[in-house]
Amino acid sequence: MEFDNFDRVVAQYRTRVLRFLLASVGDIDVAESLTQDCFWNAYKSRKTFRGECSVNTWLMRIAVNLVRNHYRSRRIQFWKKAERINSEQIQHWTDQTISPEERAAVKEQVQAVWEAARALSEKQRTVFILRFVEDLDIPEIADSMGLTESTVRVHLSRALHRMRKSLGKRK
Amino acid sequence: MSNHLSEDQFEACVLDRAGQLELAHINECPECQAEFEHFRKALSMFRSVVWDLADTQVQSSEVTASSISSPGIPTWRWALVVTAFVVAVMIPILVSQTSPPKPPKPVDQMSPEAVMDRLNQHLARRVPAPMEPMMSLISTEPFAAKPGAVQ
Repeated sequence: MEFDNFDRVVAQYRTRVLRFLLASVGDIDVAESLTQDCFWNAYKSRKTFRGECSVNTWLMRIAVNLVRNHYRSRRIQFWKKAERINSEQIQHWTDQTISPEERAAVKEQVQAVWEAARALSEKQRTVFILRFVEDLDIPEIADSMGLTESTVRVHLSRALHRMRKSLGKRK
Repeated sequence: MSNHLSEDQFEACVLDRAGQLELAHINECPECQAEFEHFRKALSMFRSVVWDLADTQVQSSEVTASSISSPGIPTWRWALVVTAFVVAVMIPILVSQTSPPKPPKPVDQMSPEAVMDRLNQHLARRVPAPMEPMMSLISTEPFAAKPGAVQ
């Protein structure tokens, strides 16, 4: 059983869980805190894991629920905090070797996606992030979110439609 | 009717499910090509930023964790040293204090010489036998006659 050595599970999946949570909440501190919650919840309920899905899917399911709870409990603060990632962290991330003009363009593009993601519904946003940040396929997304594959396709389609509209305006 | 990609066709391109028709249109129509490239690049940048930020966060927290635990001798080594000290020093002392003294051999099982030796030792004692260990702590030299000393 993979959970015999839980430290190894954390080491193996931590970055992936953190990435999904960061893309979902837009704040590195909140994402880190939720990542710890995710592994704590996983540890507490590790005996209920029957191996019917992959560990990654199981952890994503917990993470999706955490985002849902977080979003519901902090509806007002949620996207206010996400501003930080646009203004500060993207600036730090951008490759320092590229020109200021290119850097500004990258920042603008990333900011545009983040703003477009804000406008999506919670499920559309989660489907979008699992697909385009985590590279999960439709069955894995359905498994992680507890939805049918056709429902995931509908959410993904709507998310892309709205995303295309939002990004198209910026051309 | 528009000559550009429909929503479904554009979606198919983004999800790598485009057919020959969509791919041909993307190659021929500069407007759709520009929009598709812009869209794809924006998603790719977004993904890169999120991946990089998460990697950086994990690496920095790993460095912090290792720098907290690395300085000085680890706790388990201290525990090992203390345990070794207890085993090597304290236990023999405790055992010697708690174990009862060996009973002397019955006289009827001893040789006559051994009986005489024990008798001589007994007669030569200046203090009772139980007090003998304490006498080793006291100087055996006779008191020096000091002026004013009580003899």
